[in-house]
Amino acid sequence: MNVTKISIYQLITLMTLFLLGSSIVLGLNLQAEENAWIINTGAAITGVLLFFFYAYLLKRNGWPEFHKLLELAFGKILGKVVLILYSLYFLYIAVRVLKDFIYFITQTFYYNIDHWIIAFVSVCLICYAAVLGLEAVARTSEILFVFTVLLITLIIFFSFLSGIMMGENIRPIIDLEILDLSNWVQYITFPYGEMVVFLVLFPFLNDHKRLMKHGWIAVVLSGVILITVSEIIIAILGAKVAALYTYPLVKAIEMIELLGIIQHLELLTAFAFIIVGFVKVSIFFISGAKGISYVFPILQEKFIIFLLGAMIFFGSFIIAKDLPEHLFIGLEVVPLYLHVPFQFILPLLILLLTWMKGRKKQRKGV
Amino acid sequence: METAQKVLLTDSISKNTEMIKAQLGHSSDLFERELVLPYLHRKVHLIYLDGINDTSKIEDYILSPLAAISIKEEQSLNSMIDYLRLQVIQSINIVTETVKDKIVRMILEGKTAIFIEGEATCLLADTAKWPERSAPEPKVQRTSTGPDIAFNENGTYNLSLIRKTIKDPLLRVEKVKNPNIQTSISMVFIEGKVDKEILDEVRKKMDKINIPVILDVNYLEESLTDNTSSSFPLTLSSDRPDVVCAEVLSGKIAIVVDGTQFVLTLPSVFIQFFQSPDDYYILNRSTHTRRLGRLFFFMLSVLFPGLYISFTLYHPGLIPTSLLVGLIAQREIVPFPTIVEVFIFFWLIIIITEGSIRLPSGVVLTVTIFASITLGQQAVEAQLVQPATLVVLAASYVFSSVVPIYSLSLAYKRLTFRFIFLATILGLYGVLVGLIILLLHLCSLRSFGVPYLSPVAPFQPQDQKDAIFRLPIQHIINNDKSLFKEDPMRKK
Repeated sequence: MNVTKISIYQLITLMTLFLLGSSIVLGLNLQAEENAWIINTGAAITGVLLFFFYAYLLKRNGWPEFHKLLELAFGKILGKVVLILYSLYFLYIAVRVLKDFIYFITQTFYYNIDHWIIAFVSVCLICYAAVLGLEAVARTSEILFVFTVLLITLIIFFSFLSGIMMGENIRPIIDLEILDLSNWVQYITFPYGEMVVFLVLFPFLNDHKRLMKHGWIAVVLSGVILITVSEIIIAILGAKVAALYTYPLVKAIEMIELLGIIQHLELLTAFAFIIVGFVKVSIFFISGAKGISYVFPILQEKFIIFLLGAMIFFGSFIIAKDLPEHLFIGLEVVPLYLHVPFQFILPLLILLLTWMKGRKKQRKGV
Repeated sequence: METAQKVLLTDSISKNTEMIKAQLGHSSDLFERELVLPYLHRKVHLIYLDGINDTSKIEDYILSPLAAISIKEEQSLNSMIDYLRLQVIQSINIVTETVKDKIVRMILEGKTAIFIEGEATCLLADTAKWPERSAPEPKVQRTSTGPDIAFNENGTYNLSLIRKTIKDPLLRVEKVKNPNIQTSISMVFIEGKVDKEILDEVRKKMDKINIPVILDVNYLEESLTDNTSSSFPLTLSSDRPDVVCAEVLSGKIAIVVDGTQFVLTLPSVFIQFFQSPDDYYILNRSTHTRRLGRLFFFMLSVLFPGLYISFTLYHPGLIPTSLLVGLIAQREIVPFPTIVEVFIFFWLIIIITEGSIRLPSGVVLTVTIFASITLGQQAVEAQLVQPATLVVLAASYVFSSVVPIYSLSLAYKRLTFRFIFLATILGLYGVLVGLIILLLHLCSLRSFGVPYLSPVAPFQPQDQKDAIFRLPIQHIINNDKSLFKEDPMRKK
């Protein structure tokens, strides 16, 4: 019997760190240049709506666990198939984030260490987290949240203090001529659409009423942080330059120097990234593992975790040969062919099916 | 099994005393005093252990009343015992017993056994006088202000110190009734404040313990907690009555063990190990700075050697240039790689600490002089070690002393060593991974169902009054900590 319970505080911190994961260092939609903040604001608002959509999906069915929700909508067998698909999707995204992680660490910390060492240690860490379970991760995230907010505040504080931010860089504030919304799929699927994984976590809350009341704060908070950070990046580097870098935040922060003592603040961004990356991968990994262990109840949970851990370890070598390919897949292929079906089409289908079943039942009842 | 072999007393007094003496192996400190009751002409034997009994008590309260009996008529047989118990013997604590093993056990606990001719029942009067030292000063947990009295090795005395402070009719002292334990153990708690489930769990675990003699509270500490592999103490032991009373007042259970000056309190949470009693005895100014400082410096002491290794070895580019120049200049003239240096001198620090704790106090001075002058100063002058390494390790060791509770500072060695190891193989990333693992571990720990990191994670807004911040006294007293607890039956 699973009676894991997490509190609303823990969920908010988990969700904030989750949404900041990867996107904070990769820079959110910087290719939109000066208009990045408009697009980011739009994405955040969509994110809030998405949050309510996912929460509503569970609420109207009485907060069932994810696998029960799928069985409710698709029936026993088809539900299991969809569950496996979802688990694989979560695991795939986990591998993608892990890959981000590995590239980032090798590029900022070391220049000549084998990728597999970093991957191995990271996978061990994530497996350990998964073995300890969702509760331990949720509590850890409460503390990590404080650290992350502190780190980001420090970064913002020092970038203001060092005086390398140029007001001209963020102007024009609105440039309608180059405002291009054709990439909207990419804008809303990452990172906000990835909240679909919280369909697995929401049922474990101890107080569902407060989720509807306070849960959106996490989305807004991470939205505000992401907008602030991307504006700072643009203000320091200039919009055109910022769009060129893979890790624009690191590049921007590298330029800060104060009094000759405070330098190399990019360390702080590295810390922040490792924290949020850890939370993001663990959430995807734990959700994927939960799905798999439900489909195969014979296998021990620990065994599944280690099996999947080995899978994502090797997966991190297979999914992309190098960073450009990794980024290309991430920006062009995954949003359209993976994110859209799993984040929008399937949840809408679930909503439709459960709604129809509910009506049928009602009619029968009358 | 024990009930099956119950040996009862007989009517014959010589047989009875012989049986008891044989059980104790005719020990030379076992004294027997014979006397004959005047008028009644019945033999009485007293058996007691010399040394643990107060002979003047025996003389005053047992011997002289017995000798002064002045009735001539024989009482009926069953009331003879009652007559002696109720009217003659003047000891405060007196019981009757018929089972041999129990009598032997009570003699060992400092009672005087009184056998009467023709009676199959024995009277036992408490005349114990244990060797004890007078109230000492707290040795382990010292503070600058506040009460300066400590527990000693006498359980009754320790209980009396708690009673002295908490004059509450709801204060309960419960003796542990486990036949396997010979040491007397008492649980102290306040009815109504204590958490019933935790109390039941402790009782259950106490009944399972199979250790005849409990020399120190750590025996219980290890038997009661589930997770002994963790470096972190899940219970708090203190020799200060004020600390124990504060814990009991906030709804925790204190366990007093006879024979040790430490009293165990449980459940305990991580933040407690950074709270010193004088946080409450000094006017409430910047308590949070001190507590945060302790936490910060403890973490720094654990991380410092690891950070030193990872920066000098993996990320020299991240060190400010002026500092880097000095470090590289030192690096050039010494023979060993930095990692080897750190390992050698880390072990040396541990060895010197061991030595200074265990050695006779006269030799300690010699060892410390050799350690500081020869190993420290001369090693640098002989160009065997970088001064920076010594500074880092010494700073780390000194920082670890900020922890007010000793049992946590023992975790320092294990943790520091692990971080040195992680930094050696992975640099800064290793240190960060280690930190996250440490956090995960702390978050998964529970002390009797209470999450170890509460009230920080899970965050308890109502318990923040006295966690890192301390509100003025009148806000935190009369405000029970909620001791957020989880169902112990649930899975991890």
